Amino acid sequence: MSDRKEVLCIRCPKGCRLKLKIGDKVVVEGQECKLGEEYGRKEASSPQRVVPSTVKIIGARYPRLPVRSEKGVPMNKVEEVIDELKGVEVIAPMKKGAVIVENVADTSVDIIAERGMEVQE
Amino acid sequence: MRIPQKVKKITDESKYNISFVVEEDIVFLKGKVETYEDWVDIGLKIGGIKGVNGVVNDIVWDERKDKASEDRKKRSKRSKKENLGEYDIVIIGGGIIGCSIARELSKYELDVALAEKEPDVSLGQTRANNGMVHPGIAPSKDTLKRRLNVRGNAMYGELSQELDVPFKRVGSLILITPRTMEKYRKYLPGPLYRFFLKHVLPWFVKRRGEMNGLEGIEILKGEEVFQEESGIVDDVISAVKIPSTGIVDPYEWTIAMYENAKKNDVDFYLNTEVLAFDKERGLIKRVFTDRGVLKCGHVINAAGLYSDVIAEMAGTKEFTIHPRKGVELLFNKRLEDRVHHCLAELKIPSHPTSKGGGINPTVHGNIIWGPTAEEVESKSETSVDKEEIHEIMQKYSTILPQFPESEFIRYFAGVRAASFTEDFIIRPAKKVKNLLHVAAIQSPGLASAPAIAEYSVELLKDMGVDLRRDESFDGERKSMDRVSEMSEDELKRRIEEDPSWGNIVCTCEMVSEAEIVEAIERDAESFDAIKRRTRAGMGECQESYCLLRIAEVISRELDMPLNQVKKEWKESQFFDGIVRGEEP
Amino acid sequence: MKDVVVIGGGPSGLAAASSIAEKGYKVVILERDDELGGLLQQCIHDGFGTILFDESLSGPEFADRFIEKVMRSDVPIELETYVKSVDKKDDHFELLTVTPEGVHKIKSRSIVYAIGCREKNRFEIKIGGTRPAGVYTAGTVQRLVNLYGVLPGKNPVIVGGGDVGLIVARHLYLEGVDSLFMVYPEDFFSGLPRNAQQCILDFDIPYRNRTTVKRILGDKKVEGVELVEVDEEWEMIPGTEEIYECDSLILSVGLIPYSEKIEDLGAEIDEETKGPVVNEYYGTTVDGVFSVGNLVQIFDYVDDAVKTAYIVAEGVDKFLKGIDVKRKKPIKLVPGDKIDTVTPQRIFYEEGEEVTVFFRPGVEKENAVVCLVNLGNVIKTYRKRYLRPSTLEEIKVPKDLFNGKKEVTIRVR
Repeated sequence: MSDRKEVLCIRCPKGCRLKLKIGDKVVVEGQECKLGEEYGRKEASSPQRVVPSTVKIIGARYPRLPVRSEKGVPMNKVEEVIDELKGVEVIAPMKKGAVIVENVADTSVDIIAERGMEVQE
Repeated sequence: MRIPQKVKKITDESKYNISFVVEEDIVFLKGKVETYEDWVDIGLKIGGIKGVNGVVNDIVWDERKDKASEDRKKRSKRSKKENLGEYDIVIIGGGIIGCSIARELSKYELDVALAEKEPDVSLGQTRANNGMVHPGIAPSKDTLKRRLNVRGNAMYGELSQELDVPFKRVGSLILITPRTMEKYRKYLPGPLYRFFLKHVLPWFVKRRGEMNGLEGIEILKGEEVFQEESGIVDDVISAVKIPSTGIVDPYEWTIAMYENAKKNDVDFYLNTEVLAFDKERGLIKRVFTDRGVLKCGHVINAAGLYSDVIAEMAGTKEFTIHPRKGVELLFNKRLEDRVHHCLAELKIPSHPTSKGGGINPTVHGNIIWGPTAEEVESKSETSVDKEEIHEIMQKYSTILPQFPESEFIRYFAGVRAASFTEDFIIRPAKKVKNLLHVAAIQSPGLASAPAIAEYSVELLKDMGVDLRRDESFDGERKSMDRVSEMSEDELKRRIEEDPSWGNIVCTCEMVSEAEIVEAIERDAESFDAIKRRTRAGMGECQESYCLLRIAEVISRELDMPLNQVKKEWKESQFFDGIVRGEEP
Repeated sequence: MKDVVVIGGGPSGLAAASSIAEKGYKVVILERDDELGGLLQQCIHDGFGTILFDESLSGPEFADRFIEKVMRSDVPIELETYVKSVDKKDDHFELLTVTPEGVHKIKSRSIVYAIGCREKNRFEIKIGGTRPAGVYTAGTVQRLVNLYGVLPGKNPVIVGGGDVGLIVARHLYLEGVDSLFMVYPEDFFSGLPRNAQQCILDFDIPYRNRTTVKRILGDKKVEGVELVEVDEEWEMIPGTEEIYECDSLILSVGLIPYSEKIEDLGAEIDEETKGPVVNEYYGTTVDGVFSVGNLVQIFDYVDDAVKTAYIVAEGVDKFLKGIDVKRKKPIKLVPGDKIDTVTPQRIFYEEGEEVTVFFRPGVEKENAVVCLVNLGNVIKTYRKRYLRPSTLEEIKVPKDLFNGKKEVTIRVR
């Protein structure tokens, strides 16, 4: 059995539309250079995405604190990660890089604060 | 020929089967036509008969569903029983006319209320006016329009001082070009055409103005035109300069009238729609609204586009409003130096459907092109399409060929409340003796407004209203302070008192946080109401920088979550929802 | 008297300020917002810094690198500062600023404008219809969602397949709108492939190419839009109109430099970039007035925008030192066949090794040859693997190539 998937190569501005056949072996079609083939294989085996979002922050200039996953999480986990952020609240001040959620959605990746936020009326 | 014969002649000539009744010089039409254009056309023909005082056009047209019942459906709101108060006068409509009358009446010892269905004043026809205070040259000699226009224009100077609203008598140029009488060119061969346009036609125009009571009209020829306005098309032949033409911000003016009337104890009921009247022996005793009941001595129908609906509601149907849309283009302030007068190219004969309109400066330094004139079926049809934008660009770039016509920052449209007689209808209602119609006020309604208010009060006196001067009347109104107009020292002083004067939230128009707060204190509850009072959001970027910053101030001052801040109406909440459905 | 006033505390302004300060000049930064970082503070997605730092940072993280640097220097930062006027005097400029602290006069020998760009609104692209609540630019929505946690609506339509539109689409999808639909007039998304993939394709967000919004419907609140198909010239195809119900419309239809203020000072504006005409050190046509970042032209990567800030430091240095190796007449660099924009537009100084030239192609082309042409002769060529109008390209041009020329054209062969 093999899965089929279409992805856009991001290695150059051309953006080749790659067709991936994912079975025992990965077959990449539609690429116009080696970079595309390489990228297609990676997308086929373990596509990863950094997830950006925000959480509620109390006592700061803005009501939301931007956060992201420290590194890529498996693509199929993205929505789960977002779900886990629902209802998370932090209190100012907050330091840049602070861990907001550990091991989010069992990905062994942490959610971190993208910036610091001071206390403000 | 008497009126019925003249009407009969027109209906006989029509391809449709139209019946009519004439009562007290008002023509009531019935029948069926195929298109809306035909509906308008026949109404206008009959309205054009000399002596006709109103046309009630109950002809149906094919695509028209029963329009009256649709209107009624829209008014399916329930009236509230609650007693709002007892008034000598109830004014219906808070446009420039209603508000001007309110202020005029506040000079007397009268209890006055004004009911407006929208959340702010000036939201109907007034809002989309181009701000030109016409001199009064256009209306025909025997019309009410002519008299009130000339008088109203003359009143603007003093009133603008009292109300602290900018008004500029910039003057207008009526331009005569080779295109002016293209249709008649064949009758004026060779150099005769040019001679006529240079030496004869301007004289006729000037004479007409003088007959209408205007003074100081000048005729400009050739080079003289460019000295007044350098950007005008090279082939302009002559121009007629009218010095009394002015410009004003129509909603700023209306808001000033509102504020001053309110200060002099007129009760304003906003968000209050009139739904029915309670009559006794032919007189209106109570006005039912969706907010409650207003007991009244006299009622003024200044309901603009809906004045025919109000007349019908009162049982005195005597005219029909046929909405006429006008589209306008507003240009970047940076082009301020390109236009100094109100400009229009004279066209004879004037185009039947696109008459009017021109190029005007505004008091804020923008330039405005338009409006167009298009008969539309719906009174709320204010959409603007690309074709209409191009139409305006094309039409006026022939006058100002070097003007960068693509540098407009906004387009908008409004709908004029035109009657088929095409004159103002200001008179006591035929069948309800305590109702005064101040209706069908289309152009030059803005210029006439102060005189209309004055005239309305005269009519009320004739209708039996006891007018005694209120000694406590205070006609002075102070406009909002504007950071953009303050001297350096003044601004320093203000910031020392309150730092929010130094927090500029709209950078295009230079509007401070303090001004936003003051507008809210002056009854503005929505973004657009604040915009009209402060000009925030009216600049080049069209709100893209200041929207959220101002919404944040509104949210704080009115203590409401950001996602409930409104653009204008309660139904026009900006945003919807919190991320991931979280608690705000 | 300051040596340099930098107007704008976004990435380009910050980078310019610290680079100039490093050369020992007295610099001040003026910023209209109440914090530094500019638009990056609302760009919470990653992907910034891949060129400069070889790292994929989020907007706030990228901004922070520059904020920290400025904070460590002794460059004063004036927040919530509105520049009311700028007057050119004989040998300096006089700025009048308004802040919650008061009204101040600042004297400076030179000015670097780093005020960025703004988004095009519905009026600039002549979308017809009504003017109800619910029509926003993508940047406004980005700010709304990421700083305030508020959604613009439950079922928005996004028009424009540029980067901001793509990024906003992903935020809206993940943060909980009920449905989402994107349309754009191009044949394919005009944003970076990376964003098209990770924001739209990853989540199967519905989209339609060669489509735009003809009219907005709804009197008080957006009730829908009239979509229409367009041809290759983006002309609407009559008869293809279709009503789509939605409660908000988000516009990602392009950015334009905020060049009004600099134009008021007398700087020449490039009709194509809409930003000021600049020389190789980002000096405008007004002596002592410089311009960097997205004010010069719209950059696809903030990394590239920041490069201009590093270069401007050299230019300011030369200006303040009064180094006079200017050419009598600057050499013009102009876009030729199949090129939309070129910056810098002028080569002013004789000295220097090479010039970093950015150009935006007017065509999509594989294995393209980009030529520098003078008086009909090709004087240098560059090979580019793939050109697309949506991707800004960079070439390095040796300075001596310009010697003895009046005008050099860049074109695609």
